[in-house]
Amino acid sequence: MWTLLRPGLGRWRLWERLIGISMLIYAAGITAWPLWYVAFQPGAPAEERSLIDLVLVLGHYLFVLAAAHRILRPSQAWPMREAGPVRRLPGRLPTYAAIAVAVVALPRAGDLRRAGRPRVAR
Amino acid sequence: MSRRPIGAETHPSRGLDVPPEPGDPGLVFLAVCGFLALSIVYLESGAILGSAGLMVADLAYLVPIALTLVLVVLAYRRSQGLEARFWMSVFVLYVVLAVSELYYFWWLATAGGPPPPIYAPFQMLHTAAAVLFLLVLAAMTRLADAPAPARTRWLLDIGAVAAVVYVLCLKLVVQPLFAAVLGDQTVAGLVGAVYPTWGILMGAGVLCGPFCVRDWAGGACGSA
Repeated sequence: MWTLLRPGLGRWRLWERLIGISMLIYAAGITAWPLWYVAFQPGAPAEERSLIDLVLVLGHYLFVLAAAHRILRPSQAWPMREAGPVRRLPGRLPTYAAIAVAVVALPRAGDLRRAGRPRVAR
Repeated sequence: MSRRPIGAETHPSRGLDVPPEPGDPGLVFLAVCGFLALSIVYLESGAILGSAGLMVADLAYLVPIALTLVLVVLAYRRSQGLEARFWMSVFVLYVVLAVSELYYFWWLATAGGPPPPIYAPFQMLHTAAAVLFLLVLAAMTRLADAPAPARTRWLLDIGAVAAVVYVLCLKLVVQPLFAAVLGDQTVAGLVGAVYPTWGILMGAGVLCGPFCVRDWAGGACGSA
C-alpha cells in the first residue's frame, strides 16, 4: 500500500489511484476465492453472504468512481502532447533499386574500362 | 537542437504536470452513500429465501458493472491515444464481467442455488476476466507503448512467474482446502488455483508496475 500512499503520489491522478486501489482490492478478493468456493458448497457451514463478495463489489465500485471522476474532470486526462504532423518517409523501392543497379553496374563498368585499356607488360 | 518525435501519434509527457484537483466533499459523500446502499442491498438479501435472495444479492454486482460499462464508453469518447486504448481494455474486461454476471443471474433464475459447477460458463468467464485485468494493468504501464519484442519478453516473464505461482497455489492452498469438500474436486482445484494465481499477479503488478514507475518516460522502478 505504500506504493499508493507514499508522498509524491500527487503525480498520479485521482482516477488512476482509484483504479490502482480497485485492482488491489479485487486482487485480494480473487486470491481468497477458494475460501468462497468451499464456503458455498452444499453442506458447508456458511451459506450466508460473504465478506469476499463485498470486497469484490467494492473493487467494481471504485472502477465506477474512477470512470465518473475522469468524465467529470476533463483536465485530468492523460497528458498527451501532439507530436505534429506525421512525416511520411519516401518509399524504399527506389533506394533498393538504385543500390542494386550500383552493385551490378560498378563492377561491370570496371570490367569495360579494363577491357578497353591496352595491356602493358610488367 | 531539440529532438522531435517522428511518426508518433502522441507522446506521453512526464507525470509531473498533474493539474490540481479541488476536493468535492459532496461527491465523496455521494460515493460513500452509494457503496453503503449496495452493501445494504447485498446483506439484506440474506433475509430473502431461495434463489430470489441470491438474485437480489447479484444486483450488487450487476449495478456497478453496468454503471462502469456506460461510464467507460463516455470516458473512451473523451480520451485519445494511449488513454483511449486503456479505456477500451477496461470496456472489454467489463463486457466479459457483465456477460458472466448475467449468465449467473439467468442460472439462478432457472436452476437456483449456488454455486454453479466450476466448469460452467460463469466460472470460465470470470477466469477470462481475471486475465483481462492483467491486460488493463499492462495498458497502464509503459508496456502500452513498447515494441513487439519488449511486449513478448514481458509476456514470457509474466507467463513464467504465473506458472510457478499456479503450482504453488494448487499444491499448498487449493488442494488442501478443497480436500474437505465432498465429491471429486480435481477439476475444481485446477480451475480454482487460477484465481489466487491471478490475484497475486495483479497485486504484484499494481505494486511493482505502473504506480512504482515515477513517470511515464522514466526508467525502471524507483528511478527518476
